[in-house]
Amino acid sequence: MDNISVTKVKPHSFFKSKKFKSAVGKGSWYLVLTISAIVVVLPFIWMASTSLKGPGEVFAYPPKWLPQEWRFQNYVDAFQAAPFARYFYNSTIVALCVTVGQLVSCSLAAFAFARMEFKGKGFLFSLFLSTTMISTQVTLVPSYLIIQKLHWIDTYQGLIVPFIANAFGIFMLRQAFMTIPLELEEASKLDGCSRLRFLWQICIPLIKPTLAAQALFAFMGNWNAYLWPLIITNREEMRTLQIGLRYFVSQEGGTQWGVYMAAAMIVILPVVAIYFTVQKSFVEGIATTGLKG
Amino acid sequence: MSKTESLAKNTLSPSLQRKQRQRKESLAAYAFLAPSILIFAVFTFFPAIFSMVAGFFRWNLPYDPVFTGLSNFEFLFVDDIGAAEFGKSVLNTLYFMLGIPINICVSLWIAVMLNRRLPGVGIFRTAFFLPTLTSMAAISVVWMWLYHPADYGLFNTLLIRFGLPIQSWLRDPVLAMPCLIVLGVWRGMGYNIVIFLAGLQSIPHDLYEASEIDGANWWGQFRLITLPLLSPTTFYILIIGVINSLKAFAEIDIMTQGGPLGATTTLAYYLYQYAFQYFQIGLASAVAIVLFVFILVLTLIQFKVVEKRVHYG
Amino acid sequence: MTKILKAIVLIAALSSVMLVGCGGDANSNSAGTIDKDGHITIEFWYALGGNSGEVVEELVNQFNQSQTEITVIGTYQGGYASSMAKLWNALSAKTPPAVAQIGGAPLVGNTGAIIPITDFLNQSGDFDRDDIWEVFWDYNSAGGQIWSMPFNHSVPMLFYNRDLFISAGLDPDQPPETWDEVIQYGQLLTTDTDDNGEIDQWGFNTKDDTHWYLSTMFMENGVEIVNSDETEVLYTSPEAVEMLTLWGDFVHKHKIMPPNQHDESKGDFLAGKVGMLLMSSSNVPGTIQDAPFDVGVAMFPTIAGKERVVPVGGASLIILDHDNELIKQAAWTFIKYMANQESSLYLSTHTGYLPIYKAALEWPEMQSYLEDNHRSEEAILQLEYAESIPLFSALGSSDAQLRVAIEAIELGTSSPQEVLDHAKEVVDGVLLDNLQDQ
Repeated sequence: MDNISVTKVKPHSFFKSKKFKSAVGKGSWYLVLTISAIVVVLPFIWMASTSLKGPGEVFAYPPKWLPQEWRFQNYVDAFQAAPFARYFYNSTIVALCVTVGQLVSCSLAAFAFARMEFKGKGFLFSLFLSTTMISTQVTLVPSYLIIQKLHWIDTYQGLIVPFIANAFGIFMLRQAFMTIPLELEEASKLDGCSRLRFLWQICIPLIKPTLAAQALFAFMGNWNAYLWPLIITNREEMRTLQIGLRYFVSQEGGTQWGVYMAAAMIVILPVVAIYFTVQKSFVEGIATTGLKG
Repeated sequence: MSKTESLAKNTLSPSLQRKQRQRKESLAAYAFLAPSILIFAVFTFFPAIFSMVAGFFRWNLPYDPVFTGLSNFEFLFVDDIGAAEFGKSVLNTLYFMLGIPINICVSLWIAVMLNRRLPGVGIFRTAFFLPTLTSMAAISVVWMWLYHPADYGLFNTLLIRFGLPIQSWLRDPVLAMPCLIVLGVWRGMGYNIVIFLAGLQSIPHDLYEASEIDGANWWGQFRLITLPLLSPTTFYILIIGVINSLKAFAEIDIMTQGGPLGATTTLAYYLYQYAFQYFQIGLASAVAIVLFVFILVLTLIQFKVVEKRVHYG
Repeated sequence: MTKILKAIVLIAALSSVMLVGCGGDANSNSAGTIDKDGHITIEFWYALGGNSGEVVEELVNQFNQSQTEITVIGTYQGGYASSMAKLWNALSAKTPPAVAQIGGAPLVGNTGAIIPITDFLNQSGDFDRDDIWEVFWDYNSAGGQIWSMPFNHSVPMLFYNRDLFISAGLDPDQPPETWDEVIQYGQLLTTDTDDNGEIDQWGFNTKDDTHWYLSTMFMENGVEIVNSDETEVLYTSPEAVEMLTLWGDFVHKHKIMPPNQHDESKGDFLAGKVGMLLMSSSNVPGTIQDAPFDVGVAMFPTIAGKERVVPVGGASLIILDHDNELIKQAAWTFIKYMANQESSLYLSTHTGYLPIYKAALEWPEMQSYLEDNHRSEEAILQLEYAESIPLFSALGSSDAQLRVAIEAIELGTSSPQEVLDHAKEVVDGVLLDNLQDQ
């Protein structure tokens, strides 16, 4: 619908107006954006730089942007002082399991909402959506008590299972399933294809981009999760990266900022790396959900 | 299947057959929904209602719960000490939300700037998105370092350079909350920019062209076209912003622990303290109820505003 | 709509049942098990991490190897606060361990979940109570019962940077003894080393457990913390106000301490940016090891003309109630081992914690340890002056309120009398409220 109006005019003609064509405009545009971008990235640069400084240089005034002596030992120290490799492993396991679990459960539920007729559909759908209104804090204490009753404190299932269902994911995937033409389903029914097979073999491949976006959300969201892992892990070997970092920084023994920044780098780098490899679908994912909200 | 049964089936009226098919489909649908229903029931609905009930109990671990009616709410709203503490945390929560409009303004401005096809836009977009990507825990550690109260803290270094007196930032009850707000804007910006960009790109260009012919300047275009047509996007960002502010926890836990002098104790942190530091489950549940009502009211207000103001294009 | 209502009522009813039934499943045997051969396995939760935690693990191993009837499984539960939280939760879920290491153990005594060790001590002929400092028994007693076995204890000390003393023209062998001297030395140690107009080397600071140092100052000035009925706290007296005023003067009048920077203080001390620092004696070996300068350790400063008195801190071992007598006896055997002379010697020569035995300084092993580690001796000598802060049910919130009071004074938001009055109001309220649970 919008396409018609857009194709009628030449794209970007707005920016080809004389005002924007002027080099001055472009120049100031670059200048303002560059300054803002530098301001935004500055904390990262400062983090990276501090992570390579020795204790003497960290506390020196005036501080230097580049370390005089590059001290990679901080990273070694961080890995030795706390089991960051273990934390990394835990975070990966939890985020991966939640992602896979969410994709499966959300696909199934979304498919039911999008392609099937059943009693109580409308009610159930609004009930599911209402979970987004119930803040984590409201359910925090009872959820904790349930996990305790199940003896799931300090276990992977305690970190994973509560997050397998996700209303937002169901909503997104439902929208995607609804775009699949009805004829496809009729055809597959004629072929004697079961619903599950129709979902798995025909629908899933068709909505791959949405699934990918949902997978990214689930992974990032759980990778960065803080409150839940904080309250349901006690043992050091069950901590995730975020919680490990928290205890590492708040432990007794003062303020070795160089090592702390190295630890923060260790926590941040994997996500940044993932982002750069799948940048496009990530931004598109956010953008589409944003529009649909 | 016996002969009579199959016979019976064949002679069933079409409407009955349809009903049977429907029942079968319903069953299948519920099987598909089962995992989600189960987890929502156990980890969302049951806990939510459990909280609603526990709020009316005196339940200090390790003692058993005792029904005490409204006494928890009395503590939160009437008691001299309790109400002062709780009221402060409500005000802090609202104060913290000041970050939302600031964030919207900043990200809209940057999004409008980024909404051009010029070489290098991608790099800028990545730069602005970077903070959103990284975990709040790591970011908090980094900003704690930026806000370090000694003269070698980065922000204090800048102050000294401009000849201003150094500040204790997170250790100062007046500055602590603004510090958290700035951090929140910095981190939340990237997400909002991406969504605003998507919104901006869906605005038809001929609208701008037409207004240009009418002699509208940049500001007029922004005010008369961009802003109104972006209002659904802005509304969405507003809701997400409110939900996120109410949830904010990691930065407070790592950077200030609610201090100094309770200046950064938001409702969420207040609840956490009562539940997991003072073990007063009943009182924490009462706070959860208030939080729930708080969200409900905010949502209703938002929808009321939306009915009046938001233009759906 | 009615359906939804019905569902909500049903779930609400269910929740109530679960709430009330929370005390339900007793007799869980997570605390300990006895196999068919009569071998007992018990669980032990400890609260020391890092190097100290390894020492505790080692003591557990030594116990397991010393005999064949009992196996102890030790698990680290996070620091004191976290361990207390875990224990609280475990008690409400009826799944406590057999033995736990807890700070302020008598506080748990009220709950009826732990059994006092008084009875065990009386029946056991092989354990002489008088060998151990009386202050440790006091620290572990409440209501006429000894609730826990002394284990890892410490006293507050004054740490100082000997190198900075020398550069400030002070004699590093003459650390300050009184608060007046602390102020005087502190002023000499407080400077702007890089001439940027901001002080970056402070004369004095304390670690973040500020309430402990203020309590010590209260004790020095004869302030009783709580009345004998434990119904109200008493730190609104002029003597208490005087000490909090002195604390505020460190920041505002004498300018030897930065306001509200106790979280950073140990790091700053290690970085050579603080001249003198109040810390627990448990920090002695670690600080000496981490500091790139010569560390001095002195007794806690006193008020000129008044007696020296210090509190003890740290944690103790508790036995949790259990239906099975054998498991309780096994728990007793274990904590008796953990507190015996060999274990105490091992703990105090491998961590910064103090030996709990009066005769420790006469032990040859201790003497040879102190020859190489002379700075650990001051803390042991200070035990002579140690007294126990009474443990009362609102101690946790009292400590928290004192920290808030200190914060407010350092930030200059109200007067010492005002903040102490407020603290008293809050803590007295908690004391009253706690009566409801007992």
